[in-house]
Amino acid sequence: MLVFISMSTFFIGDFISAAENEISQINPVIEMFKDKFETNGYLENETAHRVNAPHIFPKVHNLFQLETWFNFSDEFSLYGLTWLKYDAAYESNNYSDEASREYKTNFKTKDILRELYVEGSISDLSFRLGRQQVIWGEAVGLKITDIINPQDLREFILDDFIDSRVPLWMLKLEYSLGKYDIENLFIPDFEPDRPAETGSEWSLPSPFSYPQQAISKPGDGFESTEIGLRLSRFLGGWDISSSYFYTWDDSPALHIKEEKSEKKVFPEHHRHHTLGFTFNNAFGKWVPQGEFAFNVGKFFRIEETEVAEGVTRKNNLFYMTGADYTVNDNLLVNGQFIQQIIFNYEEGMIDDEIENIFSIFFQSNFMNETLKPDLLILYDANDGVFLIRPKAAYDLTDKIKLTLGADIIEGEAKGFIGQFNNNDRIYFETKYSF
Amino acid sequence: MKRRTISLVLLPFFIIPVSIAFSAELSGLDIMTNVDQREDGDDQISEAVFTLINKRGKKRIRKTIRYWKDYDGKNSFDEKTVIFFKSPPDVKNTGFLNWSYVDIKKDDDQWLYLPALRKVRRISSSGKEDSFMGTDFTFDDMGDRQVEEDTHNLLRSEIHEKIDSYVIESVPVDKDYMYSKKVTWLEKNNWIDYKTMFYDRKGKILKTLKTRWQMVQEVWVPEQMHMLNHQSGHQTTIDVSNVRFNNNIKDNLFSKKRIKRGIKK
Repeated sequence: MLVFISMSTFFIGDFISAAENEISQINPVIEMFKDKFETNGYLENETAHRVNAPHIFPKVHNLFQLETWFNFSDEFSLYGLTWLKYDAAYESNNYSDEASREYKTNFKTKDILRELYVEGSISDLSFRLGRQQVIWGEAVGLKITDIINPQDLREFILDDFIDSRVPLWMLKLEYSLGKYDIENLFIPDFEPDRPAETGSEWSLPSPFSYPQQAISKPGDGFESTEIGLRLSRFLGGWDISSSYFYTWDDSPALHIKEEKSEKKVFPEHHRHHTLGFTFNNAFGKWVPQGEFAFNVGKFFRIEETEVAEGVTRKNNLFYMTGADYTVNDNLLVNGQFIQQIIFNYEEGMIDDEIENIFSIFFQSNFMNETLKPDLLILYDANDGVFLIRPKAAYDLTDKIKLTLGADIIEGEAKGFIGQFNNNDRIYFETKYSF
Repeated sequence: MKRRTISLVLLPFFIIPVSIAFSAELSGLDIMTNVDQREDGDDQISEAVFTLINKRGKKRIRKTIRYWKDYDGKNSFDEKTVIFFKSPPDVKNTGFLNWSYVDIKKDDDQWLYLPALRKVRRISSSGKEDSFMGTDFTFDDMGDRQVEEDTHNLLRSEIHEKIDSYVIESVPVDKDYMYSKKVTWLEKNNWIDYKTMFYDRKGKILKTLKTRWQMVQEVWVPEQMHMLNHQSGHQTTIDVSNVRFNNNIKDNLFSKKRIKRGIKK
């Protein structure tokens, strides 16, 4: 079954291309509009195998992605991105004792119409209206100001961000004022982070034994809209940007309250402000870069003995400083220092007052860029945990890419990353692009 | 006509006025200065197909569209270039943006838009000796090289491949440069460089470039360039088409904001 799914990616793309040619030859109407259409897509199988017991395939993921542009003119177009996906891991592993019916469904199609927007430009003003992703920030492997879209955490933080971000309905405006490029976001659509389902490979256990109530989400209406503003400028060789995002925390704060003499958990989403700043420049082989996010009024967990509801509101700084260094034609190295600081820290808070993370990323290529190995190592200094991600991608042809990789977590079984130190896996991907 | 600094190696986008006269008394520097002063319009749009062939004969194809604009010193810019990739599918809409400055001591500023990340990354411009997207052309081969960056010596005149030619040896001023020297054959009556041999730092032959030219709007532009790497056995052919000059390209095309939108059909 697994071999069949993998092999099918080699052939279905050719059928699609051939069908496309047949249809256009038969129907002149289609031919007339064909010049206005562009499509791009891929068929992909990703299969992972656990290194530690139980030795199962936790992921046998098949994805068909189709991007379509309809170009009304040089300046206006309609874009759609469709996903059809199916993870056979549910069929091959016995999750039935722990999984709900909804969990079973989530292995199958979701986000059929993942992105859909119209975009255009008039002089210096451009807009994008519809369901989309917006990406801010400079950091590699982490999201600091890249918080516009919530995340699907089905694969923890291991999925490519382009796939784990949840698109939102929003209006994005971009224009220039003098030497500044300005970006405005209006997001009336709220969606929370999507945690991994209970019992799945990457599910986060509840920190409480109390029963959890329904999550309190923002209501509909203008007052719930998220608003973003970013100013960018190129100044003396520096790319700099500052941003402001009035947002809902995509993860709910877990309030503990007594109801009828019983303690219960009431998850609730709260607003906070995020002030952001990024910079980069290039000096010879070096490209220094930095990204800062100052969060005002964000909720953090605290022991119930300190604060009855188990949450407290603080300001925190989350930032990255680092650089790319081009060693030679075949090797690029990126190093980053990431730190999170909670101000006015209180005794009993669950997060550390200061958290330090280091990362190093090696990217290389061989055989005229047909073979591209890379390696990311992330070190959580507070918990003494490593996340090691080696990968090698090979272009078998212009349309077929094969990838072999691993996700390895080393260290004690504690902390955000370390809690999954038994989930080491190797994976193989086959991708046919058309 | 404007004076411009242009790379010896072409790269698809040079045009040559047919009326340049020559003198038998010319030095190597004189000849290369004349080559450098070729008219190339105020802006240019062109398409290219890169065919990469390894020593086993396996082919890969890259298609690009290139926009170029001459700023002629305006706001200290020499020129700006954007290259969008049209294929293969997994690099479609990748955009490369380059800003060059009149001050030759000032490095170019470069950015790369990666559709897979939906991000624009600032990249080091010191990678001029790096391969351009896996081809046998480096970024420096693809861009402009100033006449002053090499010492040019007229080796001889000869009839080569039935063409009456100057043979010029160019030795880089920077001794750490990737090539120890280049030898170029230039057609005497129209200043076209149709063959260049590149030598590595040890003085061994590394690559040979052969260029075939075409007339577009009564101006000579490259039609095909073929680079063979003798040491690896890999070769790249660039077929240039749809060349258009003086399109009044807007400045805002050469921006980070614009390259994120990708190429429009």
